[in-house]
Amino acid sequence: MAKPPIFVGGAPRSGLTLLRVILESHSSIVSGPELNLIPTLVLQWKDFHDVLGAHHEENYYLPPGEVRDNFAALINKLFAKLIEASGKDRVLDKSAVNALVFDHIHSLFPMSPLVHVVRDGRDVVASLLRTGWLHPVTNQKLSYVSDAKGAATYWVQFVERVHQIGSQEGTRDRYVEIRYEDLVRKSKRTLRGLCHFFGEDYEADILDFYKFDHPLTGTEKTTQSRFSGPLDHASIGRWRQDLCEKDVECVKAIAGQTLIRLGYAEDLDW
Amino acid sequence: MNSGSPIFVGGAPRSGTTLVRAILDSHPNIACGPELRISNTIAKLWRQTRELTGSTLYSYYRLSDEDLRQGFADLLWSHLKPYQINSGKPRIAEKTPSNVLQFAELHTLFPESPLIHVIRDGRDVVSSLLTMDWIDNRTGEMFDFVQDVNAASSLWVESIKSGCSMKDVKSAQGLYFEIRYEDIVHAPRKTLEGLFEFLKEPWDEQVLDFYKNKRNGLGVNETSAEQIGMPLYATSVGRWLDELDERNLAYALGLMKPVLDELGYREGSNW
Repeated sequence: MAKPPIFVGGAPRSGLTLLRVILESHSSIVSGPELNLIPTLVLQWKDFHDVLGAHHEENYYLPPGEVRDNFAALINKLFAKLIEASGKDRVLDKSAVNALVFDHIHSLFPMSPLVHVVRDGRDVVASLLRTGWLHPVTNQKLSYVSDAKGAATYWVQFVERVHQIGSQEGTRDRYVEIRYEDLVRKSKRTLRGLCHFFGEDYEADILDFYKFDHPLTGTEKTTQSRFSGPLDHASIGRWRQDLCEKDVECVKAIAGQTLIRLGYAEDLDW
Repeated sequence: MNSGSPIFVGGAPRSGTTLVRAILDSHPNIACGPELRISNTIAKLWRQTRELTGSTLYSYYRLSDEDLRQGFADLLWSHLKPYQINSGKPRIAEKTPSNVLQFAELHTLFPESPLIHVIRDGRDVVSSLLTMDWIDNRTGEMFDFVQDVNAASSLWVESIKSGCSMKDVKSAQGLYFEIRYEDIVHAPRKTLEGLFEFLKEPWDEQVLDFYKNKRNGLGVNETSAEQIGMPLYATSVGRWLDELDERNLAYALGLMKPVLDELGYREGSNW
């Protein structure tokens, strides 16, 4: 029986793919390329629960706990073959939007670690503006990669929402936050703490992640070039080069308070 | 969990689906409860998962098409199994009108499940829908198809087309069955004998007394709960003649006429 899955989420360009790739180098943890599927499935569970839960319980002999188990069983089935083939104990599922549904994931997987990856919003904005990601159907640039305003708003709303969710009773027992900057600058300490949070031993080898193959899909490929060597600090503070003054002011107006609250800035003099 | 093969019943709302559910439930071998209301959503979720994530799941996650099918079939089956066990009957049927919109997906998820399409004259369906006051729980607003004749007509057409397309699916031969509301009320014995023969169930006279059964969850989301507590009546056939005003009829026919013709519903008269 596999250990509870690990769910990773956070605003895009915060270092999620990097974390996934490092952790899947651990002897107990396997992951696959991003599916973006778990949020859809757990939101469907939630919808059924809210709209039909009472009806199903009264008329179909379906107590809520059983329905939760049934949905969790489906998700476990989706990961089962990957886990079996890898010979490892547990799966890690990474998707930005996972973080926005950490509470529902927690309902279905009460023992699963919920990892929120957070990065300096200014660097996130700078990175988002360089991706040029298009909407899969309209082929237009996504609003949060088009301009500083869209990107900053997206980041603030995302992080604030996840913090709200991560502080809820129940969810907060499994919630852990990892700062990209800590992952890069204090790698061993950060990863050791994280592994222990998972109930796993720390393995120094995981820092050699870049020596192995890590299949990526879709938007993950944007990060590919960053895996050619060991962790480096090159991306930290990139906003100073990448963002023009106008964009910096825009980000300051929208995200300034959040950045201060998160400890990324002491004031607005930057 | 290996899923069973539930019987799925569907059709445009107000076509007599609740009547069929009551009749099925009165057979000693079949349990048919109130609307589960998730079969078509799960079917769509499966299709969407397959379309958007299938290639990644099949390659990196080493799943097969069959694994995916089984996972979603089990999810739906797990919602039906407790009811079936509690009923003490060997078979279960699930009636929700919208099932018809996903008969093709349900057929793939449950390759041995009978699919029963309840059909009724679209003009009577529209007539009936326009007298409903159903509210969408998720929005708090009335559904458009109980307020607007075009929406109602479109829903009927969409339901009929979706259901009837199963006639062309080879693997659904012997599983897809059409039953007309008008036939049930005008010739119940003959029509129901055909239904149970199709389902490979022995005839039981009890089914003609379906309205005498006390039923678990009676009335839950079932507008016709009261009507299925009464014997069959034919007075609703052709209700449109009195209830649909000329304007609404014109709009309705604009959308429905080709399908009505194909189904053999005659102009200006009832079945």
